[in-house]
Amino acid sequence: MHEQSLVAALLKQVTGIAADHGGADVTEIEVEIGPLSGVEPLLVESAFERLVPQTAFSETRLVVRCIPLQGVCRTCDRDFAAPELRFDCPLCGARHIRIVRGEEFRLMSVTLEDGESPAEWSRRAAAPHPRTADSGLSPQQEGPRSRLRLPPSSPLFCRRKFRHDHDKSPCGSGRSG
Amino acid sequence: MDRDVQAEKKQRAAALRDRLGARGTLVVNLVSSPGAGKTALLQELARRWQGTRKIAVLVGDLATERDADRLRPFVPVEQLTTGGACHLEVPLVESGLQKLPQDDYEFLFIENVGNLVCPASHDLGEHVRIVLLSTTEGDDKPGKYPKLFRTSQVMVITKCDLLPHVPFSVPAARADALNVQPELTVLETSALTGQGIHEWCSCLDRLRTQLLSSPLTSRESASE
Repeated sequence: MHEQSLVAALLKQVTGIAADHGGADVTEIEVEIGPLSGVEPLLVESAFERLVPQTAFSETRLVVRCIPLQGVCRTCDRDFAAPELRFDCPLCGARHIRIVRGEEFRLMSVTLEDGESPAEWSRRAAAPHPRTADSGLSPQQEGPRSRLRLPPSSPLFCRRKFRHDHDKSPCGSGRSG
Repeated sequence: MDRDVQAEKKQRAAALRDRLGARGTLVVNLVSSPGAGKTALLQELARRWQGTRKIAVLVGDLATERDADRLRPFVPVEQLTTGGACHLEVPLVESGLQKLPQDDYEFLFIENVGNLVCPASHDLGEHVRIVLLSTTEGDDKPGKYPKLFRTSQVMVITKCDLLPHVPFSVPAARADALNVQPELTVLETSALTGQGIHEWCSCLDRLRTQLLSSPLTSRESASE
């Protein structure tokens, strides 16, 4: 059961991202788990629930998305996707496949408390001191979020928060993605 | 955003691999279920290579120094006790490495915690991952624990002296493993009778030559 240490690494990474953006509260974390990641989605969820009480993430929702395996056959050179783990080509049956997706446990998005769409953020990031005029405060006095700067190519995908319904987890009980 | 959750540890592992590789040390991560014979295989290797290869071992277990005690007569060894953790991670390896006598080892073996599941997902900075499968475990394990076999370069079938007494088919185990990882090198060994130990030692020398540019400083053909 190594999911606990993986979730601890995840929370450390998200803590860094939140700190980079003014220490904003994180309302949602979205991760992607592949069939060959060696990571069990249900155990990730239970490790998360065990680790977050009394931390800054106690109100944070975790969204786990299970992705299919994607491969390229080394024999027929065609791409394929398979919902479950397999090591042969579903198109020609050859055994030599290269797995291009499905080995990952990846952090896909973090939603911050004052979440905006990436386009809104990009626009605001391009304008100098966007909140200074409204608040009447200097950037130093206004608080950390006023220093938020995201280049248009920033990898941070920030969305408005929405409720995570555990029963409607994309993995479901079958976790077939 | 698209970030590997283990990005930081993977970077540390890559740095460790590069650092030790530059010093001529081949790092070998030995993985298997508990009792498959990792320590016995290392004991045989250490006996044969005593005085001819510079090797060091880090052994991981939940508790006790028993494995380290078995290897200590032959090689510098540090026991990594994980408390309750089911696998080793790179910070633990780094701390064990600091406790070993500082030397330019030709081989550093990391004997992982006995487990066919979790160690598969953790890069320890190894150049090569070697999985052991003992004849008492059953020949169907590669397909049941595919990640570990998929990410290994060598599979060593151990306890082959028991083959007359156990329902284990070497061809079936080999086929199952090759289905998961077609490029796997398969060895058959018995630490008790010495079967395949020469091939085991030669395989490691060959891997070191293939994966590191630095030549062996000790005597050649010393694996006998």
